Amino acid sequence: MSQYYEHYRKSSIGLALIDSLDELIQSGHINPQLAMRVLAQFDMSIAEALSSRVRNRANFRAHLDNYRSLDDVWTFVLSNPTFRFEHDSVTADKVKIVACKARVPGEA
Amino acid sequence: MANSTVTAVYRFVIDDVITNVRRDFEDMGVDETIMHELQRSWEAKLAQSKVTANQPAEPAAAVESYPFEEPAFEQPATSSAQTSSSAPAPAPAASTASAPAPTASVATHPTTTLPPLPSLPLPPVPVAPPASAPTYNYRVEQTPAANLANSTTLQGDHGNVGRPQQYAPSRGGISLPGGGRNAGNSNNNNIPQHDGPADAATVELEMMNRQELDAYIEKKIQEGKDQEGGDMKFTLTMSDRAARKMKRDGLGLEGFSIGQVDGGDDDDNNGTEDDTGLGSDLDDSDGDMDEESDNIVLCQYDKVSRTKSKWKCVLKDGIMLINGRDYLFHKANGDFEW
Repeated sequence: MSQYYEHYRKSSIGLALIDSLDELIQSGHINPQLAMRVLAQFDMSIAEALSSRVRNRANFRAHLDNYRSLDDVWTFVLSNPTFRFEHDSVTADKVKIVACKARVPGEA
Repeated sequence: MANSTVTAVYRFVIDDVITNVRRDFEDMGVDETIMHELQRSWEAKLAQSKVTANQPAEPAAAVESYPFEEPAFEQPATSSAQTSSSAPAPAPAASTASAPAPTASVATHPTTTLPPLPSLPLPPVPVAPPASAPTYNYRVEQTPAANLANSTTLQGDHGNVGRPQQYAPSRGGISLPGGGRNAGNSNNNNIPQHDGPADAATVELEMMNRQELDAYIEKKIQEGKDQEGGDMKFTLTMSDRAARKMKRDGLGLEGFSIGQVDGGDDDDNNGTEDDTGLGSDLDDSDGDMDEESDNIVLCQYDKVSRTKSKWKCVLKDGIMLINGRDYLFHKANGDFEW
């Protein structure tokens, strides 16, 4: 289980799951061990979904404010990024990118 | 159209997770309805976060499951804060229900006018394990502490038996630093400790009525002032006690900050100030790297390269939260200039 990245838990869908699990733990319906199992399953499911169910590409340009590489994790803080997808584009004033080293899902 | 796939992918993830944890729920002996409740709650929260907004494709499941009466929020970050603050509600309810043990012991004591136990509000601290046994232990640890604090209070107020705690000497004759509405009361408590042979006096005090007590207090204060150096020592003890009492009575900081002037306070507030100072220093040194940005991209990188100030990176499998909406990409090329 541990060969899957856990950082997707910080996404909207991951945080929503964590919230729901928290509530169930607080109300005594499940124990933390079961919640950890669910999260581990989430790590697998989201990895598979992203690698096999998402096909679109994106390009983006930005000013790089800050960067860091630590333990194979790159962190970029960008200002004024423009993201271009096939059909639309999105701009923001600031964005933070957290990128773990790519690996085939399930590989050690 | 990056966004149009988001709902479909999230649908897949939810279904995949639920399907695959079924076995875990069974192994743990957790009923299947809980699992469905998890799914329902998860979908509701996701719908409420509105990250898939403008995606009418999402079926009614997400819409119908709105009974969570949290106010609408935009960022998932707030959502987690929100629920974690509201979630503990059930647990404290249970603990207060079985907490009357200390309360009862207070009630049976002659002095029924004690302020609420300082330790009772504590249980809302999220107690991680849901099982009743750990929670119970937690309470058991609490109880002796509560009783202890309680009994010390009772001893201190011994001269006060049967009297309301928070009466104030109505005349303006007492003008002491740190004097508040609790000044008279504190004097009453502290005097017997201050000058040794107070044992007899304490007995006397029990028999006095209010006027007599007031007069007694004033007399004692005068004595204290007359003594060499006694005044200073007296002030310190009193303000310390007054501060504690203010806290118990739930008065604000400004209430006992008067007493703070002569350095009586020891624990809580100083600690907080120090922490704040340290924390802000750390924040400053770390710069904007860890600043909580609303927009975040979680992904993996294939390659990151740099020539001079030009950066190029190849990213894959990303979830982006930009301006409150989610986007997904399979591959992304980024060009930055530093």
